[in-house]
Amino acid sequence: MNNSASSFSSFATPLPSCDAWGLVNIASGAATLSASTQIGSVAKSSTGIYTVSFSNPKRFGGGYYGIMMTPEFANDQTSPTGISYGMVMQTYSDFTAPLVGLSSGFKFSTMQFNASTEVPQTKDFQSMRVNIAVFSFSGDGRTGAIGGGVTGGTYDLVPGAGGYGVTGSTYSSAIASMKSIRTCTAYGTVVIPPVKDSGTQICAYLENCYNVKGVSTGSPGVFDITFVNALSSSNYCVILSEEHQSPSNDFQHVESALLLIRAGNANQYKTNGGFRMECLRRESSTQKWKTTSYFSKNGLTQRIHFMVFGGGTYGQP
Amino acid sequence: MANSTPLPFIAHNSTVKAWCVTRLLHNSSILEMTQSAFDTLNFLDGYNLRLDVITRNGFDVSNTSPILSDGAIRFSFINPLPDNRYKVFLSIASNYQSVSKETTQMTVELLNSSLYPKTTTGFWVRASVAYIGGSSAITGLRFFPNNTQIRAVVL
Repeated sequence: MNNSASSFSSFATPLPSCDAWGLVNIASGAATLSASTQIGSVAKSSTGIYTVSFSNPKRFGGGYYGIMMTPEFANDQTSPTGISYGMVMQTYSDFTAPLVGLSSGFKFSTMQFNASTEVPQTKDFQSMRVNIAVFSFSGDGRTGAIGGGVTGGTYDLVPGAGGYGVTGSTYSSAIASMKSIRTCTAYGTVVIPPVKDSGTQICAYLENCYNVKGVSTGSPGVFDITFVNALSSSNYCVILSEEHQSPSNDFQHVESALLLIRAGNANQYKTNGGFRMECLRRESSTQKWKTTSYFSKNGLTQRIHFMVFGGGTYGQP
Repeated sequence: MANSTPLPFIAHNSTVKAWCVTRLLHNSSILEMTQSAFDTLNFLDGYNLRLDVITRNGFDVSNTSPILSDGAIRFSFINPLPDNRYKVFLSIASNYQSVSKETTQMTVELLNSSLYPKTTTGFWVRASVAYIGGSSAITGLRFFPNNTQIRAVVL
């Protein structure tokens, strides 16, 4: 296991930032914001469909932004059928051709495979959270241009308005990514190398991390991440992504992964000091989604990337 | 392990190493899911990253490959990164007004293998709408709706 050598309080190099992040709590079909930056509200539109509204649409004036989402569950029992039948989240807008985003916000849906037909259907999970990070940089690089910087657009950059600093403060030339609550508070990669085993053993190590002290894994597909310096809150946003060797030139169903944050009861696994993440795959024999060591036991390397927003001790928006 | 070398803090004020939003389109006004490949790949916005026209193993943007059962899509950096230990975050979305959300699971996977290596100049992804029907297993890269967006962020 390799530890991160970087310090949480050191900003020696520019840290990556997003343009908006949020932690959406969904309970009994209603959606609320547990924590967020640049996301003003979230509301349920219809069964399994939720609307996210930006607090400062000018920042997303171009409409072309990247939305990254990761589901979070306390435990399997919090949803009617658990997550053994999988879980799918998709983002969209009410697009018409050509496909564009909306500066005001976007929608996302929560879906689960039907237990008998296996067809994904929109569904309100009884209890879950959705981690959201949005990347646009139109607000940073284009000073809040309406229309994405087109001729005749309106431009403003007013301290205190829509997230551009605080009214009354004095601003000098500063790097935008420094000490913002949109700045990453941790990031890293968990590498799961091949192991010669029947699948019950798994090993993992860290690669290229910031504010991450270690990773531990007690069972295949379950990883606990520990921060170097604890965050100020457990209401932070974690985005996950997977990288793997392809088992075949053709698409294999095991390539589809369900990456999620496992908060545990009363946030026992998602704390100020770290979080638990899981990687589930669909088992072809039972068609259930389970944590698995498919890649490592088949001689393939797998990586899980993560980035954390929020929970920092710095506060400029 | 030490961090990968950061890029200079430069143009576009981007605070990540690269990002882009792309669009995959059919020429015809197809409103339903189709087994056809894409005709065009559009760059919508981004920094230091673009969807490459290079494709491999059956993924054919000229609409000659009927079923995208294999292959991958190439993303290339405008300026190569110092090493290949970067992190890629991906998402995929489409027009739900023309595609039944009840029957689709859109996925996008980051590959890193000998055939699809992740290098300093770019990486390969495998995007799909996995179709599941009846008792059959996920059948893989079978259907694509028109107007599909792939979003990538590189840390």
